[in-house]
Amino acid sequence: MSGSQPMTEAMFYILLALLKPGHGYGMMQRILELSGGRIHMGPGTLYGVLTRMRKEGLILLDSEENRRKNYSITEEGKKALHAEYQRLQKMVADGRILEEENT
Amino acid sequence: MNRLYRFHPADYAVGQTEAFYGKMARKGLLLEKRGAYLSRFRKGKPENKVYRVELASPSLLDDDSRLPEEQIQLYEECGWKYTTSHGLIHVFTTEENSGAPEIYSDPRQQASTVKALRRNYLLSWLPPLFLLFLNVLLYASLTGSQNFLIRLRYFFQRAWVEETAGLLAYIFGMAFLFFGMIYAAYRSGMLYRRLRKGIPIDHTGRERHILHRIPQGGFLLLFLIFLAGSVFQRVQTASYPMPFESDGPYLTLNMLGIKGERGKSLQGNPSSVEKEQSLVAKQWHTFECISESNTEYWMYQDIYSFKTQQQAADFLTALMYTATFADSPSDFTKTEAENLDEAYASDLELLCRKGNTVYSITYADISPDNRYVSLIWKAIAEKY
Repeated sequence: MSGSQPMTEAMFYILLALLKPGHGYGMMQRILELSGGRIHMGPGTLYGVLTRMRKEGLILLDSEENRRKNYSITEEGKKALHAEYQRLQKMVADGRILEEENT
Repeated sequence: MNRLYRFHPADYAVGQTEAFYGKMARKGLLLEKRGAYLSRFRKGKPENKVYRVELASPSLLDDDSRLPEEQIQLYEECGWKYTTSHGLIHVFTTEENSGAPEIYSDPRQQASTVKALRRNYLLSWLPPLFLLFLNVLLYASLTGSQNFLIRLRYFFQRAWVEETAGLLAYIFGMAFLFFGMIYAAYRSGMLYRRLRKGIPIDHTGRERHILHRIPQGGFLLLFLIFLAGSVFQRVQTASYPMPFESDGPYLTLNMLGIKGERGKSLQGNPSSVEKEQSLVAKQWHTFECISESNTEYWMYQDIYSFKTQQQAADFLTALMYTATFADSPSDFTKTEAENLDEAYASDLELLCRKGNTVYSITYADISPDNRYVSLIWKAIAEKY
């Protein structure tokens, strides 16, 4: 996946959560926290996205303890996350005309 | 008995499967094990449980349909208990209101888990098609590749006359299987497309899919009816040693002036009569063998009595194509025989029709003047 393509919401939040290495269940809670309680990511969705992003080299398996796998973000993953953040910022900036319309 | 077996919804009916197990739990029947068609339940107290199906999605060449341990562990940490699995289907359960999050928060993500299921249903066509192809190939090579489609047509016509119910059972049985395969491929494809569009699985199983049951049930019913008919035909078939005097439309060698001891065929079969009736024709299949002063005389007869003359006349061509020795109608010569409607002769086989009855006689005429052939025609004509 190239950094300039739009990301799904799930990918964005998982990468965001993985700025601090973590395991599956912990990630779900961190995502809930990061989104201010908005995103209850299902374990199936999380697992599917993790597998895909690992293949794409955006994250990597950090360590394994007590059968729990810890993941962390790769340099490529960070780049993609920043690119997405900039894209979203640009979109928000472009969308400001909506506010002018309302006033 | 504190265990119970029940048929469960098919693998493609994910939502219905989940709802089915939940409904059983509310009746106090708790899922223990899922098989190919049946699920095993343990009798206990009614419980409010929620079931979710996770589909394994291995790649084409990977026949491991287990879920990775990491995935199961993640689900269990979230409150989903791994219960049982069969093939690609893995079942998780949790108490109602346990607070366990829904496994998939994004249907589009779930769509990719349906891929292997869908592929399996699409590929399930290949083995039967390959078998069918092999059968046709084998049939073509056995019958000579020329005109084998024509031969196939007459092969089926003969089967239709001799084993009407059996052939119909075969056709409806195949229709049932193929319809099931098409329907399963359609449903798994629909499941995939809906998830891709972001429509979540209906976990309540309220979406009823019943229209397909009409053709499917119809095919199954017809299959069972004709299977019973075929069994009935077998049961009604009378096989007995050939009596000295013919007790049906068949001839005896005695009627042709051949006297002597009834013997056995080279394979050791004694002279016998088999009398049966399909939905289309009454039939007599006989074998007779007589040894007379070091010479063996033998005769096979297949006699078909139809309801109409037209049916009888149509069947002659099928007999020419499916004869044991003759290859096709070109091996038969039309012969004039008194009081018979049609008569044909080849080197070892005779075919004739009298009204709505057809005779197929395999008989080695060793007399130099073909004396027995004309005697056979005469004997048949006199039978009526």
